[in-house]
Parts: sequence; C-alpha cells; structure tokens
Amino acid sequence: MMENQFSTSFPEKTINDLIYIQSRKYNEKPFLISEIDSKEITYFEVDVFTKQVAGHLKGLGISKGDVVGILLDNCIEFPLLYLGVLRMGAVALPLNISLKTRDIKKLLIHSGAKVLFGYSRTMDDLLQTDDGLPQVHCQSVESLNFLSTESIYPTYGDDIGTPAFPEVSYDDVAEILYTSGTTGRPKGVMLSHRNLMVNASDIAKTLRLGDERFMCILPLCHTNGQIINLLAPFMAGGSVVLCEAFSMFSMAKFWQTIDRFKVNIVDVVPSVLSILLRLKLKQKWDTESLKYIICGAAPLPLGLQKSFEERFGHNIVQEYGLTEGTCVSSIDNIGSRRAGSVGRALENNAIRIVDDKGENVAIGDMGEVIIHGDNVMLGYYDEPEFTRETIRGEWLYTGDLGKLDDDGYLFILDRKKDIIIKSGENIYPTDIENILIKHPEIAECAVVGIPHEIEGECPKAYVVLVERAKITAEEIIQFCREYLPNRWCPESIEVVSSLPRTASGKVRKRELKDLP
Amino acid sequence: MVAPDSSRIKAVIKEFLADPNLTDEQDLNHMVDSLDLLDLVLSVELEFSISIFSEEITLKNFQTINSIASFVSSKILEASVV
Repeated sequence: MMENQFSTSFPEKTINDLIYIQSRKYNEKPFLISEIDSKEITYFEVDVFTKQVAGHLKGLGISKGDVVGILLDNCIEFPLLYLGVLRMGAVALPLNISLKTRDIKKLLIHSGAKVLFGYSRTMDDLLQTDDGLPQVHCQSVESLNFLSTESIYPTYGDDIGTPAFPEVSYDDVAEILYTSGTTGRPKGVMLSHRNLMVNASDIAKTLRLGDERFMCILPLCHTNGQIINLLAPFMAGGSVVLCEAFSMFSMAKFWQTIDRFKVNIVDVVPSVLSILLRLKLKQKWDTESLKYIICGAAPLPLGLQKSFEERFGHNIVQEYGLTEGTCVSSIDNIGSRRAGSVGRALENNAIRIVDDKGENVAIGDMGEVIIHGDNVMLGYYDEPEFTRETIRGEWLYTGDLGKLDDDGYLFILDRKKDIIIKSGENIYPTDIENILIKHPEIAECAVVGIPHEIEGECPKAYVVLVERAKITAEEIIQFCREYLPNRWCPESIEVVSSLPRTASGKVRKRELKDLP
Repeated sequence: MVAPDSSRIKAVIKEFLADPNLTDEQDLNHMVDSLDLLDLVLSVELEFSISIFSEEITLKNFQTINSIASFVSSKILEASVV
C-alpha cells in the first residue's frame, strides 16, 4: 500500500546524515533494483556499502574535499560510489560515459580529480592516451567487491571502533557537474550538500512522494538522474529500478519494465516520449501501477504531450530546471496542471521574470527567468568571473526566456543563451564552431539548433569554405566526429557564400535558424 | 515461400550504418545510439515490408550486423507465411 505521507524534512542535514537516518528507518526495504539482473540493495545495504566505499577511499588517501570521478553507466555501483564519496566529505565528479577519452581526461585534469572509478575498458583507453593520467588513481569497478558481504574493505563512519567521518558542513561542495567543456573552457557546476538536500526534499514534498517505485532511465551522471531518480525517492522511502540510460533497448521494454517491477513514476526527457510513440507494441502490458511520467530537461511540445497522453492514457508532469539550479526549479502539481506550463516554483525557490536591467516585467510579459533559493549552485569551479556573470545579487540568471501568469505558473518561451538542447543535453554551438574552424578548408562557420521531431533540436552548421576547397559535407561531419561526441556533431552542413552578420560583425543566428 | 537474400539485408544495414569499417560480427552496442537504432528499425521495416515490434528490439536481435540480418530474415519469412 502506498504511504504517500511525505513528512520528513532534513534541515541542515548532509548526505551522510540522510543515509544514517533513512537506513535505520527503512532498514531491509529495497532501495535499488537492477533491471538487468533484478539484484536488490536495501536501505541497510546502502549504509553498509557506502561506508565501505568511504573506507576504501580513505585507504587510497582521499580526504575531505578531494575530487573523485565516477565514469559509469547506470549500474548498481554508480549510486553506491556516488553516495559513498559524498558521505566522507569528498567531492563527486560524475562524468558522462559518452564523452571522448580526451575530453574525459580534460575534465579530470581541470577538476584535479585524485581517483577515478570506471569500467576497465574505459580505464585502459584513458591510460593509453599520450601521457596517461599520472595524477589520477584509476580503479576499475570490476575490481571492487564492496557489494559482497565478505568485503575486504574496512567500513568507515559511525560503526564502533572505526574512525569517524570528517565533519562535513551543509555548504561544503558535494559534487561538480560539468555542463560543457569539450573545446571551450570547462564549466564545472559546484553543488553543495544544501543544494542536493533542499532540491530533492522540495521535489519529494511537492509530488507528495511516499514509497513509490521509480524507474530510472536517465543517466545518473546527470542531475535529473541524481536528484529526481535517486535522492528524492531515497528521502521519501521509495525505491528505484535502474535501467540502462538512454538505451534503445531500455526504451523498447519501457512498458514491459513498468509491468515487471510495478513502477509508479518514470522521469524522462521529451525525446523518450517521441520514441515511445513511434514504437509498435506486440502485446498490452499492465501499466496500472504507473501514476504519472515526469518530463523535463528540454521543452516539451504541447502536441507531443497530448499525443502521448491520448495514446497511452498516462499523465505527464512537466518540470523545469537547470544544473546551475541543482535540478528542478518548478514542477507541475498533480491535479492542477496548466497547459503549456512547467508548473510553479518549488518551496525553497523563487522565480522572477526580468528585463535586461534586471527589473521585474509585468505579469504575462516575457523576460529572462531568474531564480533564487537554496538550490542555486555555489558557482562554477575555478571560474569566479563566469560565476559573477551568472549569479547576480543571489539570483541565478538562467538565460531562458519565459513568463509567469497570475497564479505563478511558469511558461518557458525561448532561450537567451546560445545553447542547443538535444534530448535534454545542453550542446554549446561554440564548442562545435571551435572544431569546425580548425579545418583548413573552412573559412567561417556558425552552428544553430534546428527543430528535430524526436530530439527537440539538433545542431546544423553553416560553413563558408576557402577558395578551391574540395571538402564535402560528409567529410566535415566526419572531421567533427574525431573531436566531438557523436551526439554533438552537426546533423547537416550547409555551405553558404557568406554568413549574415550585424554591423558589429556578430553572426545573426536567428536569421540562420529561420532559413527554410 | 521465398528465402530472404541475406546479402541484400546486410547491404541495406551497412548502407544505413554508413561505416565501411564495420564487420559483420562487430558489437554495435554503444556504437549506435538509440535514435540511429530506431531509424534503422524503421528503415528495414520499410525496405522489407515487415513490422518490428518494440518487444523484438533486443540486444540479442540487434547486437551485430549478422544478428540483425538473421532477425530481419526471420521476420521476412514470418511475413511471407502470413
């Protein structure tokens, strides 16, 4: 029976406190369930295994404030390593496994990571790069046996006779999440224990979470995976079925998995809904357990929402947020959804719509969305200037354009920043442009996001070639693939004689976006 | 009943994947992203007049060019019997 009695708040508590409290409260109740092999990890085991992770890290010389990288897909080890790092006051650095080896290396070096956990195949690739990774201790996850009751690792923390965890404050850095950084300067969003705890707690309260079972098909290296799919259910006493992230195979058995594990809530990005609409089902799966689907990280077209809800009969709850705001800033409330809106601000988060001078615009008028609250990041790692540009007077300038209605419902209308959002992933056109311009046959270039039926947006490059250039569009895409993750590469290339520019020489990207 | 031409099926798959270096037994998992895989499914459906169901999009059926060809071949046979 559903409890639906979210009454627990964790004022001034860190992740270590949270694990201590929840493991004693829910003890033998399963928290993590692997979709692949149905392996279950209870709340009690989360406590034990994360202490073993902490003990192991201590043995490796890691102490409070040291950065520990995690380069894994959605497997049981990911959340245990992540929570173990946070418990002992170290800083987690979740990395996207789809990044190129050289970019992973760049982020490890930039963050000053001391240890990296990953699959042995990835470790081998990293160590085989030109100068290896001399400053990072690489540990393959296959060599860890902390998931065994006969673990060789000492525990660490609150057990009698073991050393106590370092004192971690609510405002210490808990993790660094890189939102970009392939060719431009890496931007590492620093989130504190306060950020994580408050945002997850606000989500759990707003959705009135109890012992619901989540299905996690979003990558745990992203904030949605960590906050909505991991910490919010952990705070509420729920459970999480971990599926391979963004895999077609996971999506192909989406309804089957809901039926198999009697899932109550799934968090997706719009492209997942598009894919599900395109797939044909052989049989009818029992999805009665599903209460609703949370959708965020990218704009959800109203038509897509309607088509999905009509075909499958399950409601979609929209959320809005960004990594710099930890995860969620506003969310629909069940039973009071408003068409086209991304809901109202969370409890510990205020939203304003302002003009270019930072003054409030009238209700219903469009302006930049700015947010304030305990979910606003500490700043960008090692980027004080960029942090000052983004957080002004305690308000985070999101770069999104939107409006609020009389009842405080937020509507996202456009984007101020030059970003392409492809299936919820932020892609910075400058990262692609910086690669394109390296090609000797490309004189000028500009990358814009063009609408894509499933992914929301995709990069398209407009290029001006040098005289007598012979390069083809396909060769340009191939060139990009050598330096960029495949998902960031332009879907199409258009050769033009010149780029439209303003009087000051800036490319008029809006004009390019409006081209047929 | 007409036996499906395996080389033609493989040619269609290879043309779609557009990577001349791929071998028939190479593991495509983690090489082909979810949307490419969806497009591949839709392409072979159209090309061979078959219906591929969600439940059939499994690692076993889509791991290598050989396994995709074998699966598509069985779907063509199934369609011709119906």
